[in-house]
Amino acid sequence: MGRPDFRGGSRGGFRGGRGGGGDRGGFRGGRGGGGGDRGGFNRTRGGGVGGRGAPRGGARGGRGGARGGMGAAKKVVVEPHRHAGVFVARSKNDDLLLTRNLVPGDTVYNEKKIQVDGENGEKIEYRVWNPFRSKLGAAILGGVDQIHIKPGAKVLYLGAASGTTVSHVSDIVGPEGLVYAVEFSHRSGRDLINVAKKRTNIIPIIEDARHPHKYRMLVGMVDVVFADVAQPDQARIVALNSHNFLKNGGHFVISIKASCIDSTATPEAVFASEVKKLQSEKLKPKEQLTLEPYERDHAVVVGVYRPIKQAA
Amino acid sequence: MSRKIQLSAELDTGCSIETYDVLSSKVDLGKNATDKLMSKSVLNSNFINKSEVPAYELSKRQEKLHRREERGKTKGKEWFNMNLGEMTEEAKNDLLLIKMRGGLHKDRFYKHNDSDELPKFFQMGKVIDDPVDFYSDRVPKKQQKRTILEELIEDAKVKKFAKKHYSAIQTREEHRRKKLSQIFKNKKQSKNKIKK
Repeated sequence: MGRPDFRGGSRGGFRGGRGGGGDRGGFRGGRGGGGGDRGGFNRTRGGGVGGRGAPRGGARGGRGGARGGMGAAKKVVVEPHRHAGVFVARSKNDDLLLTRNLVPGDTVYNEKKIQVDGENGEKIEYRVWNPFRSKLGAAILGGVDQIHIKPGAKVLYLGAASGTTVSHVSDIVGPEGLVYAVEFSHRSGRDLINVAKKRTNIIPIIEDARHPHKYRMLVGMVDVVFADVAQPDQARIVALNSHNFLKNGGHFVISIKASCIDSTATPEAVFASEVKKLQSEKLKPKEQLTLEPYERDHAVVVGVYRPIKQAA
Repeated sequence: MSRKIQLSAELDTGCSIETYDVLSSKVDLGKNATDKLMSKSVLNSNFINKSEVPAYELSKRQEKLHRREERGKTKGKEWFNMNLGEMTEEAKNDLLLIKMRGGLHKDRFYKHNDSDELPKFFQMGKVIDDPVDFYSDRVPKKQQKRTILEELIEDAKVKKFAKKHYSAIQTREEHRRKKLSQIFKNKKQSKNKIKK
């Protein structure tokens, strides 16, 4: 199997998702989209894009709702994705991104589940990963080369919010991996802790990511730092945490929201300046991509971390 | 258990030997236990036909081959040991359908797939019914299908598109045929004229 073609088809698959979710009133954002109908999966491209442009509610740009209107009892074929620990479900008309459920029978944000009959009667369960609610999911569908998050990896997740993406990361790393989920807000921290109660490989940390020394006794050496903090000093936050916890040659994945850093400059200029800042901190960016169909003015930067060499 | 045997049928040596019949003697092990033990043994009935005694341990090369074979059966621990898919007729049809679904929907675009082969690792699954789903999202049990192909056959939208598409091709072909036959006719006529 070569590089699975997922991008085109999946874009088709998820289109209209935001319209649908917004109207359903997912737990953030409420009835943001003015896009009338429930917008299942059969919307045309124009409709989907229109829904995206509609005014949004919610604090974080309305990353609301969007449960794909995948019909129940629909038959699908589950295949491995190019990225380790990620799967794809293909049905007669669309594709879905999946992770294998660490806690079968449990959902985190009312996402759809897919059940497969495994060997000797065991049931395997997958959870659908919605790219409109997860920047990492959007990056995968956008065709990012490497996410570096794989089974058995230890991940420091900055800006965990309610733990929707964190739950998928915990699925990917599996029972042998670990996710240190850092979130400052107590309100969403509550949801995060509820997620961590059922998923034993998540360690929730309700602290400010600007002060890694406050949770240094909880976090060990990690392989990957993922940051979705949307703060003006994001590069500094990532650098601080990387210096503290990221191993040499470890990787970082950062989602940058241009309007959160400088709303007056063009997004491209903001991304370039952020990359400059990272480079000065020995975080060497390898790849950058925009999350265009799923998020507006967002970029994901993936790179490798090498600390300053010690003087002999 | 012992019994008297004669060493030879005809010869009477004048003495009898008491011996144990090892082969048909009943030892404490039950019959199942012997079978279990013998299943591991190389000394079975066709052992005598072999030209050489089989090696007890596999060679390094063979071990390697064996390992590779075992490894090929799953996708590896990076995908949680996903097994090879069972390529039944139904599964094959479904996979082919997914491969060719680009031509089935008028309002959808599917990116070209790099691979010409059907996937080796796959599982057939179904989307689980959710109690919080709205009515229109649920499918009654009677309408649930066994395969993706069956779902497709029942899809009214796809059916309509396919019918339209088919009839369009038919009319186009008919038009072409008519045109061709007209050209042939004209040619024949012109040839005949020249002959005359």
